[in-house]
Amino acid sequence: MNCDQVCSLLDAFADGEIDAVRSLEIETHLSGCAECRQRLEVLRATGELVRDKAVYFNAPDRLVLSISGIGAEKPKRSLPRFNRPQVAWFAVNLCASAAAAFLLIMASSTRRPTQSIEAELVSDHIRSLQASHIFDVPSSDRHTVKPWFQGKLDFPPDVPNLASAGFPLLGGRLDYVAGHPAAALVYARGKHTINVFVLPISQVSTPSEKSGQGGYHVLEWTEHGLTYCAVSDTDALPNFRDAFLTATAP
Amino acid sequence: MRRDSKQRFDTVVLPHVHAGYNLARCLLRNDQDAEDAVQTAAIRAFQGIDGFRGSDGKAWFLSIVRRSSLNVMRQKHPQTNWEGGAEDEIPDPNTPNPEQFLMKSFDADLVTRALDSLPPGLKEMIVLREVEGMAYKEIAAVIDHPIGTVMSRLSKARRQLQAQLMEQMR
Repeated sequence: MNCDQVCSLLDAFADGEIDAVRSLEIETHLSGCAECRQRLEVLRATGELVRDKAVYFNAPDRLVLSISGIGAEKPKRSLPRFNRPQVAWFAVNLCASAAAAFLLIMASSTRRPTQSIEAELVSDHIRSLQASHIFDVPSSDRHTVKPWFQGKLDFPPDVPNLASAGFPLLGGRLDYVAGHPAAALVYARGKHTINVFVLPISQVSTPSEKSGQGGYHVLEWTEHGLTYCAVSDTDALPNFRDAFLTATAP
Repeated sequence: MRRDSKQRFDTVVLPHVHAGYNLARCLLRNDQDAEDAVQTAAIRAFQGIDGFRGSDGKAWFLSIVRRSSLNVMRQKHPQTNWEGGAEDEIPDPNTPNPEQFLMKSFDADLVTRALDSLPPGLKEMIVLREVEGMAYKEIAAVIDHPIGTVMSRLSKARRQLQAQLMEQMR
């Protein structure tokens, strides 16, 4: 073999991907050719550089967690059945375990700091975004979404369609906040998503004012005996609340 | 049935989530896009797990991750130049100059930058071979091309990476 022939096979040789006969021929050539030996050295050094020094991107914990939940057993609790992908079941499981964990925390401390409920709302919001958006009822029709909650919650929330104010309704789902069932209404604002968690006033004391949590805003208000908590990364939440209140005013 | 699928999924797919994410992240160069691509791939893998008869779970899962990454790429960056330049160009064995190359010491930052500068179709070859240590046959399964293509692309990828390393050094 000459240098050209060896060069064209050198990658495969370095990778151990060449048959014994040709491998032997290459070795014979290498023993007499310093230039080709050096080329082989460069090849090996390149691989080593990448292995030792290039950043390896590990999957974030939440992704690993989410993937290990795919196909997990259904929760024992009786929940309404929907024809949804596995990911939705995972979300339900996750909500259930989050709720369980939260109940444990609540049981061990008499007073729950406001901070943690806010953090929970934000993480509920983020989780809903991750699971390629979960709706139990994907519908922009308030007359579909509102009745859906009846029978599942004893406090059917107001579900206005705010499309004319720039906040189209995307759907709704059942969620859990601080261990209590809650309605989650999903609205859009441009490319942003707004989750509105709705729960009875007495159950949870929520943050009263708008605040930032890792780039997310939480805004809470009460109406007709229900607490509404809007969570989003858009800063248009005050507008959203005003539109919501106007639309639901008697 | 369901429990069997779950068990198979856990054995076949779960060990390769990090490899999947690293591949997707290298192709898409964005954390969120990579996460979405891998999440979608994992769901596909679960749906297809009963049909998976092979023994090489890693190559199988990575091929799904790769497909879903390409979908994201097509949506978000339809102009992406996949391989940069002609497929069959014959590389000059002396680029870079071996002597000069071996004299340099490249730091981690520079290596990461050089790798990142490669077009995705070449970058994935480096990741699959050098980082994941996969055999040509496995890589061929991941990229769904014959082994001959693996050889030529990998060789081209290495030449370009070496050239980039030298380039970034300046």
